[in-house]
Amino acid sequence: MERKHNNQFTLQVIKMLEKYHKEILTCTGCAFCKKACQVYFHTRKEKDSPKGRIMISYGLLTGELKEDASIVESLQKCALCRLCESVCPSMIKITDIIRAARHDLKGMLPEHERILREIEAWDEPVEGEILLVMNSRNEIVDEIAKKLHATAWHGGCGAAIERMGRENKFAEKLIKKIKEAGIKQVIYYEPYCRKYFEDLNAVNIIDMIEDVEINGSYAVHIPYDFDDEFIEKVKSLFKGKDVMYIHECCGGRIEFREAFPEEAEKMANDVIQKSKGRKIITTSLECYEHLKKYGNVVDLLHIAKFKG
Amino acid sequence: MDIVSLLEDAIGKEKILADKASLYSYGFDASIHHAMPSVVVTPKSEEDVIEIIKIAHENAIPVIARGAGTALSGQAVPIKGGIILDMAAMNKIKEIKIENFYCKVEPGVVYGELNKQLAKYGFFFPPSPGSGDVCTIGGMIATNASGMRAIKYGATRDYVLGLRAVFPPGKAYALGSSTLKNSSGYQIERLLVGSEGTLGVITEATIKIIPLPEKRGVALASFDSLHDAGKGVANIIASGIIPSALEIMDKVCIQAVNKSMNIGLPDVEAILIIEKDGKEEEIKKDIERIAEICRKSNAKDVVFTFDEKEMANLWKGRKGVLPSLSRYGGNKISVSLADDMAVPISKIPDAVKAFQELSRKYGILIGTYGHAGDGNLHTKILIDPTSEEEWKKAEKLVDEIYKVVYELGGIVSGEHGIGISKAPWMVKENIELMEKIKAAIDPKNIMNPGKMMQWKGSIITNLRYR
Repeated sequence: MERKHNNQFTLQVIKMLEKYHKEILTCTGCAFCKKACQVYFHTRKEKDSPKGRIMISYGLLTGELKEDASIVESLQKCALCRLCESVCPSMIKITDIIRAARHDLKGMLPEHERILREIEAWDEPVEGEILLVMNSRNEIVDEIAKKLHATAWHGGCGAAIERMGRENKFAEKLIKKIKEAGIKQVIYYEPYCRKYFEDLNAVNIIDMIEDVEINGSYAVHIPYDFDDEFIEKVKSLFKGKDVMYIHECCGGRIEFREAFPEEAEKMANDVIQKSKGRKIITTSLECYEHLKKYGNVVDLLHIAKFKG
Repeated sequence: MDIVSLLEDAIGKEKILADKASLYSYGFDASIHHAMPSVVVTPKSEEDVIEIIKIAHENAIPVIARGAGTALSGQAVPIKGGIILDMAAMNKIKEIKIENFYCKVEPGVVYGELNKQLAKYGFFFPPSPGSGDVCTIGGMIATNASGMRAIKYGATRDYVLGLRAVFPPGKAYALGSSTLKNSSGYQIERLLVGSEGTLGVITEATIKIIPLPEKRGVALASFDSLHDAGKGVANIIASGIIPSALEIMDKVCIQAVNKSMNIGLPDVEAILIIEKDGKEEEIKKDIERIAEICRKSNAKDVVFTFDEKEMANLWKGRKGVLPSLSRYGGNKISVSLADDMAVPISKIPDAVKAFQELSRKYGILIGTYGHAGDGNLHTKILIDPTSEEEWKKAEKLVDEIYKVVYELGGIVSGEHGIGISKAPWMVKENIELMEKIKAAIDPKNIMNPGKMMQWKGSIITNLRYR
């Protein structure tokens, strides 16, 4: 598919990639990262491999390479799952480099421009004492809000904006609203929202779950890029139960699945395959919405028994 | 008609990549070099390759075949531009014939994946290059790759029974056979081993396979002097025991690993890691004998294990040398220069000592490690790759390193190949004959031109660092 390059977006004056100059030079180019990259596995194109993206980032940094649509696409065609980092013998911060390169890009994919507009346009009342911040319009959000005596906010924390390489002004506006409304506690789910709520009394919903109600064999999907603390807490909920864990990305992040639906579908099917016929439990509503199109899936929130 | 249109017409648009991101990213392998191709092609069959070579020959355009792009000397870098042939999509395992000790594969099959499939039958293809999890069989053949188990099992060349390959002006040939023995004329399949894509494009390989060993054991011996470590190597070999790996690490490598990884290697002048595989009773006896030989060779300490986890931890330290060196010294990073010499096994201590002296002379940090059991050493040179002055100094250092290697009766490359980075130090007497063979097979010089014997200039060229 041909993409139109749009460089109307704000010109980024400071090159974020400068910070990663030494990091990029440290990459020996060994290509071990290829074995972990699900996107490369499906396309088999060098520009779709982690190494390819590091080299392209270096070209942009040194000025040897000038941005065009193919470069924007290559840098955006990464789910930021970080599995490549788990096998990199040089311990290169691959996704940090890709994020920095995205920050420096002038152009955006048309799908990303649309997602940005949609996220930024989201509005609903911020009120009550407890606010449940979820990046989903699914009815489960309202059910949980009711259980926790909270007001539901379905617009998420805008993390996708930052993943696409743009400044997350949406989170800034949300925090301002939360403060103005005198919200006493924020409850969020996806661990990547934590950093935006550091100044607030915020708790991950995982800390409010006492137990999970399951019968039989399950496969728990916890994306590898979720922080260790979150992963350990999820695992502690399933201790002694018949579960297996899948850390591979399902391609469900909105900016990835909207821009690269073909790869996102293949990655979702890979996760389904890996579950070996077990019912899948997701630990993110973004993953849930994506994976349920391809297999038998529930989210952790569907089976959670909350404390108190 | 331009080259992109010609290729699109011949094999289909979907197999041609000409966008800037592709051209730029296919210009790298794992060496210090970079150059842009004119177009990238991803053939799916031998027929595709034939069409590509026909077009390249007719139009006198360079063709550079590549697998995973893990070459360390610039073999896959298109320094004369032209067509990159990415063979990764030709990745079918066509046959596994246990009863005949061979398997038949396309060139894009990944080494680790092939061994995973062979393990189901209790068999393997042994050369085990360090890049085994990603490198392809085609690339291994083109560079005669091997790794730490070469001491017992040999290199890729020892397993190539037959090949199919496409040569200019665009014709495929079946070379060798599927039989274990073959004395039926020129062994042309062997000529392609180590040819680095300068003669033809491999489209299928028949590979000899052997049964997997039952068990493994590993010993770690620490020495206060390099000389004693070298003596240890010589004494192990002289004992008649053939280890499945015998690795050495010098002080710089040990310190680098200890600094960046939590392995706790002994802080000594040199260590040996020795692996023995085979039948359980046999390896227990042999590992204990190896430990005894090391002690008699003045090893300060020897520990050994048969536990899978403990063995994996020891190998983690050895495999961690390369990344650890890259993060060892401030703005210095490890670059692939002079990193793959082979010397007679008995000369290893002399070689390492000489490299350490040269390191002091030039004020450039060198870490030396490698396959002591087969005489193949890896020297990693740490420089600031953005400094022109350091590259110039490093080139002089490399020249002196190779003088030492030849004085000790060694050779420029043991398992990585020549490409560009090692070209000036090839044995001069062979170059004329190699050129004659190349001219006979590839009269228009389209197959990976400018590499090996054809590279005449400085190795500090087409640098990927800015």
